[in-house]
Amino acid sequence: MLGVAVVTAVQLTQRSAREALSYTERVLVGAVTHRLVAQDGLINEQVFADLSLAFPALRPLPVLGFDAEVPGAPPHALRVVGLDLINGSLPARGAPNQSNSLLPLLRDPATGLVNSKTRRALLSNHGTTVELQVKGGKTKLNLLAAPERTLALDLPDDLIVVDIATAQALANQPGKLSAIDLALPATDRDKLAAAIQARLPAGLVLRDSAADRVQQQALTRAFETNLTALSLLVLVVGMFLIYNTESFLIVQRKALFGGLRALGVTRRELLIAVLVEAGLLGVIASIIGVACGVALAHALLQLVTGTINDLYYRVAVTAVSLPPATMGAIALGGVVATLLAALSPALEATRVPVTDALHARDSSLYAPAARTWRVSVAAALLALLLMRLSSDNLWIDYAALLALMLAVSIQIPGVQSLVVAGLLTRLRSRRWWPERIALGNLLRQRRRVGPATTALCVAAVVSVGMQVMISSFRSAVEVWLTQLLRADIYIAYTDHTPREMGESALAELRSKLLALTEVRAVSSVTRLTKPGVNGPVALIVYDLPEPARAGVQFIAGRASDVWARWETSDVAIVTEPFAYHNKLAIGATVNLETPRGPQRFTIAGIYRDYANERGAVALSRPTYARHWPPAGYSGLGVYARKETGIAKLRAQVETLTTANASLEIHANAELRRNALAVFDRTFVITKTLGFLTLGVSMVGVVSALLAQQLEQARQYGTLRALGINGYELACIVFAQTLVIGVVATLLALPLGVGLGVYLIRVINLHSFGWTMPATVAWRQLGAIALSLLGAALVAGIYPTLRALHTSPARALRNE
Amino acid sequence: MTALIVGRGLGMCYPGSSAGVFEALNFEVASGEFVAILGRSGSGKSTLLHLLGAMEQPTSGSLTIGGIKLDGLDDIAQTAFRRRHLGFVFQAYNLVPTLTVAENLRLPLDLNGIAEGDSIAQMLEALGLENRARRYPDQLSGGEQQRVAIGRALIHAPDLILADEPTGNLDAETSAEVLALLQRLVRTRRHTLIVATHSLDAARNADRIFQLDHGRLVSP
Ligand SMILES: Nc1ncnc2c1ncn2[C@@H]1O[C@H](COP(=O)(O)OP(=O)(O)OP(=O)(O)O)[C@@H](O)[C@H]1O
Ligand SMILES: [Mg+2]
Repeated sequence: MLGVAVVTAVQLTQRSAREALSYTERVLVGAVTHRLVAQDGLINEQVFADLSLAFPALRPLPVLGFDAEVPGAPPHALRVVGLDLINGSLPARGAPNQSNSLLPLLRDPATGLVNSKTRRALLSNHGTTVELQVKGGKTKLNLLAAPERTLALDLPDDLIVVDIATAQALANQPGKLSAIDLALPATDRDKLAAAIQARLPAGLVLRDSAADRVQQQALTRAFETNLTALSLLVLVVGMFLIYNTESFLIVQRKALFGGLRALGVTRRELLIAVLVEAGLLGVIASIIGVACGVALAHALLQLVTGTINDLYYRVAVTAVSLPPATMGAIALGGVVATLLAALSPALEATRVPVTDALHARDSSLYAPAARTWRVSVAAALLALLLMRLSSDNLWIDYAALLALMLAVSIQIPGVQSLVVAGLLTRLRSRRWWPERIALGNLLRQRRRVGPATTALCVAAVVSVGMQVMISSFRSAVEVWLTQLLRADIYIAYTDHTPREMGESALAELRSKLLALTEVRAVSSVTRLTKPGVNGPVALIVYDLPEPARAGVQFIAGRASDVWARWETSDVAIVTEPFAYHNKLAIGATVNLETPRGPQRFTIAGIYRDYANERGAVALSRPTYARHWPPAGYSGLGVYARKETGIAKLRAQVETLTTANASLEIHANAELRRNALAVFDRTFVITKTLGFLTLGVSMVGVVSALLAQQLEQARQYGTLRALGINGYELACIVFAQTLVIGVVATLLALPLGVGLGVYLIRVINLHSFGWTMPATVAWRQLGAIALSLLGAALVAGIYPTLRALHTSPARALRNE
Repeated sequence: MTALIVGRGLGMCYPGSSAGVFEALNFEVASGEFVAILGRSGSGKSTLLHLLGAMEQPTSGSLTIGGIKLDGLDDIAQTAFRRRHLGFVFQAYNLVPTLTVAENLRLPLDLNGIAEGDSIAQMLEALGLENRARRYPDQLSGGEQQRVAIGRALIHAPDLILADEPTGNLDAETSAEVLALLQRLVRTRRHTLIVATHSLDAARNADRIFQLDHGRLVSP
């Protein structure tokens, strides 16, 4: 019964962790991947109708977004976004009928939805309508506060959501859209994108959202990738725990099984009975696990919400629901995992010698360790083979990781035994008798203790590996940002979409800025998507004045060479992921479609970039201008002449841009801080799950130690009778946990660093093409090691207390 | 001869049970004596041994062993007393399964801080287990395990050996061997031995027999 409770608890916690992982993943994967925009600004509604007909499964989402302001001093700048509310593109939390609160938006054409903070700011407590100024014209809009917690994600500040029809009326652009959002499935995403692009009328481009939402998107992917790796490792931990519990259940009932065999039950029948029991336990635990998983996922979702909140159009497709089929599949997976983990103990149950049961002796508990090295070698060879095979296929990398983990983890009990045996020969002196008993217990009961140590160790390895990966990633990003962000002030469109030259506020601003005496130089960037040979290519057009050039870190190619040819010849520099994914080196060419046909650009340099994991090609503005009609700007960087003039310069820039609500201004430090804040928030979940895994394996260690106590009650009674007092007995029990904790910690640190390096060198390289130096944050590792030791000791407290209160007479009577 | 054990008005009633197991037992056991406690199952033999073994406190009366008053000792003092003055032989052998034969024999020496010397080798020889020293208990027969248990009870030269059904798990022939060994060792080393049993065979060579019957000690 205790065993059942333990199985359930372990299963539950472990299942919920895994469940949460896949759940969060789905939520993120389900978001917008592509956005269709027109080069001249607006899309005809007809395109949307055609697209819906041609690709009904994609459920394209029409968007009309524009800037508006509420007149006043100073005017309050707002963004209005029209979405297709009829098709429920603004999903409600929970039951669908809760979305009733959105009905007024449809019924009354002059109603908009804002968050309550914005509503308070705009309405200043008289009435419910606000006067809105849109492109010179004025209209009244009824403002509704989005009911808290009914929408899937909270609305960001200063954003008004209206029905698409309302938006068209407000902007006086009937039948027009500013974008169509698409969520392309991850499988054959690029093929689909190409198919859609092929159907589009001239002047429309399908943009990979990654190119727009640089940092966030890339980080999200990085986070997902690493989350998948993590969830696979959590699986390993879970299997060890199940194995542990199952073998405990079987050891406990050895006599029963032997008796049944004596009565004539065949091995087969016994095996089936044990597996059916394990399966049933798995079913119950999986159901509870899925339920808890959903709850946990909601909690975790709150963590991610911060990251994706500002990406307003994501709101449109992030549905917080998991189809029953998926839940079923996850539950089924849990049952299968339970059965797999139970298989070996179950087989063992069938091999119980009949005589063992009749003589009430248990030979297997102290059986020598199985020959695990063969499995290890096989798994390691498999891992090596997989690593050879793998080039860009993440799943092969994951499989290699699993095989490697298996190869290492099944050796952990053996290593522990070696350590313990070594200690035993060291501690020959009489003084150490309690420790000798403790070590003897560990050595002779490795079957019981081994899986627990392994689970704890693997969990710690995961924790440490994640920590190493994240801190390396973070410091690489930080270094890169510091290098890259050379300008003192950055100005960009809030939606990062470049405007055409004619209506470009940035182009105007740029010439005004160049005229200022405080300004030393102005750099500019235009982010575009161009058709290339293998699908669309993210193209970045740069104006890089002297001070900006130092920000580009070349991984290949000499900076002086690049800059000498940068503006005058047809050269391009490409990001590291671009070169990696397309297997390009210096001197190779990139083929891009221009109005005058395909054009080759020679790669002069490869530079570091963590912003876009698909990679990008960068050209100088003069080079671009030789082949394409001039493009507008996405952003500007302003370099102050003097360090001290930055504040003044910023004030000037702000006055120059007040009229335009679609521009945002950031100081250098601010931008870096924001980017790192996004980074940290993105990885909070990964860290949280790392610790969760550690927690789950603690449960495993506690249960293993408790099981050991139960098995040893008589032994402890004997020891007490022989004159060992409660404290000495507690020492013996505690020494066992201490050894488990120390061994797990000592093994976990190097293995964890190894895992981190694998994540960086293999997983992240293969999925993003990013290289980064591995940095080990020793302080954090120290903290993990301490908490691991602490956790192992905490796990020992209950068994120790039990030992402390063992009454010899009672323990001997219960034999 | 001076009395090693003095029991006066000894009564025992387990908490939660209405009737006591026994009440007002009076007895003395001299040093070097071999006493057998006989009685039907449930008559309280083990209970009496647990009182003598300082593992349980009598509910009434007083018990003195070797001049030490056992009633009223706290757990630490009880444990220290067991460690130094007592040796136990159990029905189910109860060797420490994670220690070898030699290590099991060594345990009482370590506990009492007694130098090992060649006492373990001598004991193994006396037990006839010279070639079993490095085995684990589960690799021995029941009779062999019980011999190791006897060695463990004697090796630190305690004042009193307590044995509860020492042959309960063994066949008649092995029982006789084990009993003979126990008695021989106890006699040569001049230990005091109290054996609880319901087999008259085991009690045959005893100096005295205590019969427990309905909570009283009667002479057979
Ligand atoms: N912890 C306990 N709580 C309550 N009653 C107990 C406890 N231990 C033993 N008893 C009762 O005390 C009585 C004496 O038990 P004891 O074990 O001493 O008998 P015994 O003579 O050793 O029997 P056996 O020959 O079967 O070993 C029994 O009636 C038993 O039920
Ligand atoms: Mg008894």
